Amino acid sequence: MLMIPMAEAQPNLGKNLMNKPAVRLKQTTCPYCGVGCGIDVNVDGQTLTQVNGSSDHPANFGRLCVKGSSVLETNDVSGRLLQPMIGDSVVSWDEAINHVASGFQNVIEKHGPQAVALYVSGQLLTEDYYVANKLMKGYIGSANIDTNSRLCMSSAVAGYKRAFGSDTVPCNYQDLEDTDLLVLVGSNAAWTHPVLFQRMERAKQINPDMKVVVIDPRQSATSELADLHIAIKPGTDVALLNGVVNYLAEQGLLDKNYIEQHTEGFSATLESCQAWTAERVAQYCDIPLEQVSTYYQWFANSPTAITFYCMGVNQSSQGTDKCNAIINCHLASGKVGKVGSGPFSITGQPNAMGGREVGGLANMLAAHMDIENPKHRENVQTFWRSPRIADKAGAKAVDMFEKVRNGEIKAIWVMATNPAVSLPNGNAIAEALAACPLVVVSDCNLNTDTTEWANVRLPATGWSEKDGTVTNSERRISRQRGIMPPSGEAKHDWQIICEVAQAMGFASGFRFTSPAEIFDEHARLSGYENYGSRDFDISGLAGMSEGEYDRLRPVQWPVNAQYPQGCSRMFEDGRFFTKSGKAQFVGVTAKAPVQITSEEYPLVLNSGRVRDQWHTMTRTGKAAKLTAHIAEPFVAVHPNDAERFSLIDGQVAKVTSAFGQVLLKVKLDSGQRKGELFAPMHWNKQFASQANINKLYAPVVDPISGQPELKHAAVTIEPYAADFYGIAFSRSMIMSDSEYWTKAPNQAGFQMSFAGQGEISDWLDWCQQHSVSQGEWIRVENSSEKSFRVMCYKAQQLEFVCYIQATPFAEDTSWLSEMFMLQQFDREEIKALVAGTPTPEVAKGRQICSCFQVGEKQIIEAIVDYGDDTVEKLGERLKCGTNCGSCKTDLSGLIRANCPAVAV
Amino acid sequence: MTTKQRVIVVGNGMVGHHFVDQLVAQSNQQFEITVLAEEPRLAYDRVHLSEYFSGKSAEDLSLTSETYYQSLGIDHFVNQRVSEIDRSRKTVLTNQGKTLEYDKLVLATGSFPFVPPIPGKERENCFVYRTIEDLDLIKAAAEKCKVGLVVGGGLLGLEAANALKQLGLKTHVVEFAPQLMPTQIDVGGGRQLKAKIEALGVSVHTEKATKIITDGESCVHKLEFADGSEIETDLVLFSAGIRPQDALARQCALEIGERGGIVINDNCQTSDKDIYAIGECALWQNRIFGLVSPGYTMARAAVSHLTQGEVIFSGADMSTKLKLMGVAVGSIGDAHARTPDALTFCYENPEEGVYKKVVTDTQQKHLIGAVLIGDTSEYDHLLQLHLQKDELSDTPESLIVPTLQGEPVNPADTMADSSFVCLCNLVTKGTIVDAISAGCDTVDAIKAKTKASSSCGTCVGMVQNVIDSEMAKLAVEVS
Repeated sequence: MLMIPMAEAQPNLGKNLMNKPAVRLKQTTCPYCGVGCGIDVNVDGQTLTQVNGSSDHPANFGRLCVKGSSVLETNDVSGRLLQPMIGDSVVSWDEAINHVASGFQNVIEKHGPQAVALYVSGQLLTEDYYVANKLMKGYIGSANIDTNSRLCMSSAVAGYKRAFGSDTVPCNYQDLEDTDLLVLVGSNAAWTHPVLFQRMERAKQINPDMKVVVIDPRQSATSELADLHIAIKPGTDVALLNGVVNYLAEQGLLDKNYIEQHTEGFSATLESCQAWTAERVAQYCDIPLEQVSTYYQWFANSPTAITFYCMGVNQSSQGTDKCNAIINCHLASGKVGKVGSGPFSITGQPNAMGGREVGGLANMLAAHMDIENPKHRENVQTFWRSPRIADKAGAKAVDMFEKVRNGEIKAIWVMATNPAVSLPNGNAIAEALAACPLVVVSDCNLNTDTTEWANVRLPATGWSEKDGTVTNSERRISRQRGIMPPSGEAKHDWQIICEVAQAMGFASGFRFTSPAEIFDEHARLSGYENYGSRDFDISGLAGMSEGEYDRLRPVQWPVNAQYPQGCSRMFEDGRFFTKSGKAQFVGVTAKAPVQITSEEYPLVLNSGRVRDQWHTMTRTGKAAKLTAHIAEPFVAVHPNDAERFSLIDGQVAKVTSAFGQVLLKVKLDSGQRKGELFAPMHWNKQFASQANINKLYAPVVDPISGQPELKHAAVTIEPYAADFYGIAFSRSMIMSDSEYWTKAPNQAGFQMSFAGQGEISDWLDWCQQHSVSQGEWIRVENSSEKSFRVMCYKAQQLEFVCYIQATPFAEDTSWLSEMFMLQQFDREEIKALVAGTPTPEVAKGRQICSCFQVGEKQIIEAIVDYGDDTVEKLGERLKCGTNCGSCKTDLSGLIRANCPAVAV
Repeated sequence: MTTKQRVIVVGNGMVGHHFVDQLVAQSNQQFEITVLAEEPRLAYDRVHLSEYFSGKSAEDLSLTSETYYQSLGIDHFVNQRVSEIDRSRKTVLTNQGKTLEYDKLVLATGSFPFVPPIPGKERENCFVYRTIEDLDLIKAAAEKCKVGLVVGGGLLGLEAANALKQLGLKTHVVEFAPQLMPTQIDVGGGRQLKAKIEALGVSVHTEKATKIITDGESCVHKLEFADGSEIETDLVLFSAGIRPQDALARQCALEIGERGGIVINDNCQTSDKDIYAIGECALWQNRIFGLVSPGYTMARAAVSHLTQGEVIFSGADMSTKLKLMGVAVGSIGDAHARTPDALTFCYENPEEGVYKKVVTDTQQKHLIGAVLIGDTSEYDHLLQLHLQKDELSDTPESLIVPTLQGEPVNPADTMADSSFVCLCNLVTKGTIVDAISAGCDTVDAIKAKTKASSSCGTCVGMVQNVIDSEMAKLAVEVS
């Protein structure tokens, strides 16, 4: 962990007055979700000492969520890949670059350009992305470059393109605050986009008339804010949304003028919607009629409305249709291109949008130009002066790995992403990577589930080192600034790509010496032969000096002659990028998900994210502060289903689909619909034995976008017959070999939860074998109950504690971790651990507020004993929720649960 | 004089001798006692047999002498193995052709070392470790050996290993169970004991089933194990446990336990009311007692029955404290926590090589067992809590965890005068206190006066505690 000196910034004021200040401020962008918050970093010498939200960044205006505020905790070099490696041997950069270049070249010579592929990431910066795309499509001459954004928003892209003729997000974040009706579909923004969610909360406080509708099969932190939560049957969104259009027509509330002037294809679409009366929708979506009616009335009568949608819509076998169903509602009611209105797709990565802009998807060319369009191909090839230009779409993510598996693709280069975890049917992905003759992985991490299969590992720079630009969900381009020099021998992704390209003989196109040069070319290409024909045009940013590029302030594209300061809202003039200039209604039909339940697999598995983790945990998994909220993967089960499948809370269960199997702890959740399970997608082999749930999903994709159906698997669940359950906390590493285990860093050091079968004859010995702790050990055993407690301490400091029992832990065990934080560890503390009863100092309960480490028991005590009945009162007393605010919905949930008289 | 009852004692081990001693003491010369010893010498201290290698002579170890027996008018024969008992005629026949008549026969035949049926066990330089004669053989053989190996990692096996080490051999201990001393101590204690013994230079190999002993390459023998591994050695000692020496009882058709041992009742009578069995050959409630103290108790019960006393044998506490190769080891009561619903509390400090464990009932009120390795300073206190069934005044872990322990308490302070300090010789605290009042102020003086700690030696510490406790009281009184 990075040593962050506290409050040592001003050692000698007098001296500092004479020289330059010891602490510098660097402004950059958060590396996590698609909100793209500005971050101010205090730099003291070579040490990053503090982060704050940039108060002048329009994405967040000073706010940061808990993930962003903890970014420094994830920024140390532990676990970093610091030198190029071939196999397990460290090699020189020259050797590595030549190995990759010749490896790719050999395959291309023997099998053609379609036999190689790049699988890239929304975590690359635009400049990295740009050169990767250029190499593949212009020089290798194949479009086999796809990005992990395929998994999160390719349906949204396809939906926008079908409707608007361009991949254009019309709205901006300010619209969220200016709307009268906010409809969140398939989004748990409270956890996944907390800063935007805070803006929504604030907007609702300022405007109590603002309505919030949450459409999500499960109750979530986001639904806490909802005036109306519609827990639809998963996959029935199209029916619900088509019903809006039908309702508008029935009630005579269509914006006929807008439809007439700015759209095409309405009548056909209306036809496809007319069957969807509120009654039929209620029945089809398995929801109460009055919920349907209320939503429709609100939408139809609200002067403005935003439909805010994310993975719950996109990750579907008809994700594109769902997006168009949303857009149809807005076109039919004229709620597009206006303040506080529009269909607003949110991305999950810091630079998913940048990837779309440069053409990082296999079915795009570059600068929002189309592969299928000969004029566009000619534009790009001419501009690049490249030897080739890809003339047909390449393999999209899921297909790409299928081609790797069946041998069509023989060399793949994975950059900054972890497909072994994130793609569906993970067992087949592992098979593909194992079989592929050349797997190159550029990453900042030494060990991920993907680097495990790498023949070549190339060390890439990480956040705080990378230098370039990113684009957030509201089309805003921001600088991510290189603050630290690269760690070890790491290089920037654009450098690595350019070096490989040069080694492949493509010197002319890749002589870049800085990200500013790449950005300049990118900006010029966006304006090349554009003349207002393409939405993405940042020609206004071309020609910047290095200094101007470095100082670039956040700006929303397009940036061109028409919009020299950028453009905050698109389509205000009602003109679109279709041939006719009109938006297209796309009539869509409700279809059942492809992965449907059966007698053998009777349950639906939904997947999603938890508040304090991000993606495959390669970074957030390192931060103790972030693991305290939810340290262990789980499967949420409705109590009725738990009874039906003989499961109890906290028990390890085996969740099985036709494609794989995982072991997860059962979490009873009456906010789940019956027959449906939910599990977070973050955990992987680095953190858990068998918790990668994506491997349960079939490789089923949306036929248009190619986005996998990752919210609807058919599974079954059964108890795992564990003979023992254990929880261990340790100041130093803990190892596990139980069939079920999960690990996380925590404030003490490490924690591990485990369960397994068989009998361990000596748990003290087991603990000593599985830890490196040294000191005095105590073991307590109740052999008839098969419960054991083992602890190790040294010099009045707890080193290790492990509780083992035959049944799942019903009691909160977080106090064990707090025992490590105590100033004193003596008689009373030892006795407490022996007896299994927390001392008063550590009875805080499960952590709710990660920023101030406030626990559930403390909060409940404040609610019950002190009558704190608002989130604000709790914040005054305990500070919880007063920093990043990510836990506010948890707080209001606790108030409601413990203070029933209060309406929160 | 013809009214004297003829008592023949077969075997003159520690227990046989104790019986004679007690019978002489308790009776009014109404018995005519004959002792038949198979070994070439009279009783000696087998508990401290290993000291034979560290300089003690056979004489130093002897518990009695011909002169002493003669002075008591006891007929005694060495090298005299009984080969047959004729219960109808009430006679015994010895291997030297002697036939003797008895009224009461006492079998104190002890036990013999169990040698597992391993092919090659008869090879040269393969010994057992039981008698002074065995030790002489080992000593002679060791002079030509470099490596020695003990089959069996129990109490005796470790004693034997120590002996081999002292004889200058590179020493291995091979144990079938996953741990050392599986009878007396638990897995954790065994682990710590192994670590300590290995630190002393003895290689310990647990979970090894010996398949065959055959020719070695660098040594005389090679032991091959079931797991495929092998060890070479020049000398093999078998110490794989004991078996009750019940051959005579079988020959004369006394009731024998399923797995051996002469069945006795609380008076130590066998199925023939005129024949008693005591010590390691006797099976009481299906248990063999392989320690000297219960053997003594049996001897006293048999004597009591012969003399119309009331002492019976009602089992024995197998608690023991000893030093193995300088490693202090203590085992009290239910060391394995086999009592249903028992709770276990362990403390381990690997750096200092200390392992301690206490076992309590489910209410944590009573101590029912303990294991101490590396540091047995709490032994007396724990044994007292166990035997007196004192209610625990603090949490069980406080008894053994140094951070939780208060000032060391002298366990003798709270001991009742009627409590036994020496279980072998049934010496109470009161007896020792009296001896102290009479001027005995050292352990040796007390030992000489009361016999306390003169047998197995476990209670030496407690005797010292009683001295300290009494001295402290005197000091208070004086001041």
